[in-house]
Amino acid sequence: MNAGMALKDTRKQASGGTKQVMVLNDHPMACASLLSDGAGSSMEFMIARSLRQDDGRGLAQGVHDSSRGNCFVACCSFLLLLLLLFVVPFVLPNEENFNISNAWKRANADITETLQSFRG
Amino acid sequence: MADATLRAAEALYAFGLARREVASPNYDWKSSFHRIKRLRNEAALVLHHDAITGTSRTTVVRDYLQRLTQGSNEVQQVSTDMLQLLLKANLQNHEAAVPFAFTAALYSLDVVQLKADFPQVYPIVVQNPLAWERHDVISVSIALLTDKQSSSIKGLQVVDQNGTPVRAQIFATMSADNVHTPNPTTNVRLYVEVRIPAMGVATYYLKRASKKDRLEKNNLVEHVVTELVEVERASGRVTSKGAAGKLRGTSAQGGGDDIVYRRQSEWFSAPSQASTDVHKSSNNNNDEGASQIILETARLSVQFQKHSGSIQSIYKKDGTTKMTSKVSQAWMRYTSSRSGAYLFRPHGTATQSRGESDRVTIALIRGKLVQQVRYYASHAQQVTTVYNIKGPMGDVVHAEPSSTADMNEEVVLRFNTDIASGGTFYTDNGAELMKRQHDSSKPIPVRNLNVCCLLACLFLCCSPNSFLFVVFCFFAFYFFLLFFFEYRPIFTQ
Repeated sequence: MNAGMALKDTRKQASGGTKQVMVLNDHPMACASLLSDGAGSSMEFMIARSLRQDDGRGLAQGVHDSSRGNCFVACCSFLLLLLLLFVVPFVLPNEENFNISNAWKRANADITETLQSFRG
Repeated sequence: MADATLRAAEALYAFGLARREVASPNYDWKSSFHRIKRLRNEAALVLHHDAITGTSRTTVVRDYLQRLTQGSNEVQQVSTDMLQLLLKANLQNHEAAVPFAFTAALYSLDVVQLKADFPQVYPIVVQNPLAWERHDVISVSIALLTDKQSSSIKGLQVVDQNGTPVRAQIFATMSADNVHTPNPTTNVRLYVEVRIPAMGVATYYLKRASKKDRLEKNNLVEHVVTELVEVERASGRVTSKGAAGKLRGTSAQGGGDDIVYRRQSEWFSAPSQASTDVHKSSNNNNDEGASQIILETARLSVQFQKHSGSIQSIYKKDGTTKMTSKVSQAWMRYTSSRSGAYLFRPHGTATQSRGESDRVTIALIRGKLVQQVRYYASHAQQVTTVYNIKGPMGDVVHAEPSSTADMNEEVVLRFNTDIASGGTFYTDNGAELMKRQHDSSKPIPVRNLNVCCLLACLFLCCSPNSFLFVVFCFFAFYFFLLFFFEYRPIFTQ
């Protein structure tokens, strides 16, 4: 399963479209957009956590989760997408349109359903 | 990953079953089906909320991982069997007796060993489980097991099933553990441009090129020498000494033919003026132009930060609209003595104090098919790749960041963009896109923090239940729930 995050410019481009930056990752992680002003905004993703203590919510141990090492998915991979979009309108819960291009959809599916390769 | 493997195997199994009279009446279809069923069960098991959010104990996560790995391995065997049956049935005269082995999915690390007696052709079968044609780049790691000249990585060729040469590239890669050693690499990596029909299978053959092609240097696998620079970020002083190197284990003789990497005593040669200008105009940091790295394909151009392997901006030059966007990366960290698996309570905002060391190593590969920057700092690494192909994968910048966290530390990768979003952002949980608003009114110390979880746990934030969570957290002086995904857990012991 994969997940993504997108920012959309509130200003219109000269060409009439709206600028978006999307990050797709092949596995989910915490994200936030903390900095935002007239000039730009940020996206952040949590890559590694290492916490000694328990937070008293039931796990009863700390957390050690790092993206480095030999594991099922060796490291998280982001796909940064830059698109001027027009293609498919996507209806959000609050009925505001947000456009997702076909390229984004394809790339999204591509990282979910990876090519399976075999050797002779 | 397990899901993709499962789906691919299910598709192949269905194809195989439909042709079982032709393919192999004696095959044990029942046990194969049981293997598929087992992975279905295991994949369903890890949909449990504790597995998704990473709120299960170490032993439990190990159990999940073991189940998925075992299940996947068995199902991969089913895929392999099916492919062999199908290929054999379709191509009567084909040498289908060649046993196939599963090499894991795309971007795999599996090693193909090219021996001196390396066969005439080396088949690589690629399956596409999606319902449309895919145009992508696959990669295979290749180890040379002998020092004989015959196993040189030069003069190789990759052809498709019709015998037509396809674009391919080969170069040496290294890892953070060995990049500083005198002989950093034993493997080279082969990248092949592939086109696979919907729900289909394509075979590519790696072989030695014909003498004619070798002499004319036609249709060969492009061999790119990896350039390595070690640099002090603050001063920009290059500390590596100029030297060329070969793969570990290859003989000293043989001239300069098989040089796979070169340490440079100077900064990388400047990119073309045109692309530098494009990025300059958007970044307002004109003084840095020449010292930066730029990766360039027909559709994208990616500029990196000064003396660093972190992305600075991306220029999209294909299509109706050309545009540049700043996507400046920064490695940052939160420290905390109160956070746990469920709660995110950092001491203030993220700081940049750790993450990238002053002395870093950057490897640059500029080929016609693949362009890559490999970046090694002390606590963070990143491999950034662009593929010069048509299709959606040629429109994206592929970055593989990785980092480790010290005790009571949470490492984040931040992208500072020039998008004026007004605090609105969208998250995708794999099922739908959610609009979110940064809430600056939360009475939280130092700075407001709104952290969202990305995946299946999302429903917690959106359903009525989430209200309880948020209120609860609020009272407890926590900001928000943070879930973390732990399928790929690496536990420090």
